[in-house]
Amino acid sequence: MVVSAKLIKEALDSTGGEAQFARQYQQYSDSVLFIDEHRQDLLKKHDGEWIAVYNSAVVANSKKYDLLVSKVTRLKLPIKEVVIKFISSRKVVTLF
Amino acid sequence: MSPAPAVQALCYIPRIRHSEWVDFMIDTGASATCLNGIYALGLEQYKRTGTIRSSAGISGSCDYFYEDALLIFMDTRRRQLAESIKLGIQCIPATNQDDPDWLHCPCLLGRDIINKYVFTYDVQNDRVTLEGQAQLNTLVG
Repeated sequence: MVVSAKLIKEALDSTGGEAQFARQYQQYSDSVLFIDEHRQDLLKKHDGEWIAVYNSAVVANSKKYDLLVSKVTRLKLPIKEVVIKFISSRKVVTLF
Repeated sequence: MSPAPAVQALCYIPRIRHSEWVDFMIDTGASATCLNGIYALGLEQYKRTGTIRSSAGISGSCDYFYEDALLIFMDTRRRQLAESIKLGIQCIPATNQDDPDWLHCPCLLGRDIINKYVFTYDVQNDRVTLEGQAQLNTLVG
């Protein structure tokens, strides 16, 4: 499906423009990678908790998701760019 | 256990002018791309009940509502790749909105997107690379 240039511009503008899009992409992807690469360390510190990662650093943690979001908001971080994951050592078989 | 292969994209829903970054698990078993867990919870307030459909998977069935959305990826050559899709958004029952088992359910990148690109999964290095295909005319920049 061909995507209209107007819609693409609207989406990019929502991030602040092309340069911001590229910066945000890099930050978000790096933060996802940070969690993957440090999963064992994160498990030791945050087992059973939600964590928020921004600029490849844990910026907040909580047992409750809504409390974590409140903490991130209080830090005035851009919530849409923050990677939020639940860290658990519990073995779960995930089927989709 | 290593994490499942995933890619990140900007998800934009024009009807409500909502954009956010999403970590998508690549799921060749999913016919369509969908938002689940915390990503879906954040959109629950915009749910249009007339668009709700039940979807079945290997682990059971779940309701989704649907929005026209634009996903923008960045490929290995740092080109932006935009795809317009009908995005399924998981309905999270009020009784489950603080249940981690519901909320950490990953977003899935389904075959509606996967089939249009070349994804390479390097298991040893746990890296997914994404290439836009030449015939796509949705490349930007």
